[in-house]
Amino acid sequence: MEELPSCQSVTSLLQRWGNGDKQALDQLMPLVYDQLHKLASRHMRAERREHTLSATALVHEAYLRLVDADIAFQDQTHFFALAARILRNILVNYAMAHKRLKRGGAAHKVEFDESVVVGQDSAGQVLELDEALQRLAVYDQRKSDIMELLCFGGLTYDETAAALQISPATVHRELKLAKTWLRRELTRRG
Amino acid sequence: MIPSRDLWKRLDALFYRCLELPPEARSAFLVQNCGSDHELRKELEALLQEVDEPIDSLQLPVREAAHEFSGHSEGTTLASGTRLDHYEIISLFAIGGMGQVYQRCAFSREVVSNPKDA
Repeated sequence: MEELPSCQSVTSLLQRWGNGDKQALDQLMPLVYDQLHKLASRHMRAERREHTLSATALVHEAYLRLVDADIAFQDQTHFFALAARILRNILVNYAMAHKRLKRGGAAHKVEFDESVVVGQDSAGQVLELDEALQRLAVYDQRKSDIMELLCFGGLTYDETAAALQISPATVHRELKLAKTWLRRELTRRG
Repeated sequence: MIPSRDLWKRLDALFYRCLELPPEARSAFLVQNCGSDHELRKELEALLQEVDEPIDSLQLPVREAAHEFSGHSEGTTLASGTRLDHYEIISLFAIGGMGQVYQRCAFSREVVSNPKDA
């Protein structure tokens, strides 16, 4: 049996990370990744097909399972930010696996340790969004961070502001160019 | 379009200055401030036209991917040991756009099959 991370360990790792301990993040990452991955895989088991799973629901569910209720707001938003990054990572990996499969992967000897599962259109769009965010980050890290939290983490504007330690007004302002530029960038390439 | 950090900074600054102007004054402002850089001016004009579009179109693919990801997962696949006619499922091999591919065995032969054809 695998050992489940306790609320206590995740909470204290979050607090240590919040206080600038980079090693805490290294330990935190696999715990949150694992939880999100499991949640995303299991989420639909008992649900109808037309049910839409939102990033927000996933991130909040992972949070409820992993973190103590009485954690400071700042540490809470750190968790959401981390979860958004991890969810981006999970979905991009799956979209890439899907693309490999589409190119005729099944004819080769391919080692799958998990099922490959992203629809063609959304898979391609997720990859394009991820790449556009990477290009944006080279010149404007903050706008890229804001869009990552909003798109992949499903955070609210206020949660995004708290996670990045900027004001909600700044989020709204930065968002104007970030979202408009991203949308144009995706249509340009699409 | 992000050809350089300097150009992005210019684009960023001009974009937000334009937003403070009434729409009818923006065009003249851009002509004045972009100089001979017609590409920058065109890009800014296009961006400003779309500035009020909601963010939804960017969030939707992520939501769909998360949905597909979870929707096709273990819950809807055949467990190993499941019998289909005279075949027995060994394991799930892969899932693609057209269905799921399983390793199955029959009469000690190992073959790959798509259950939708079975």
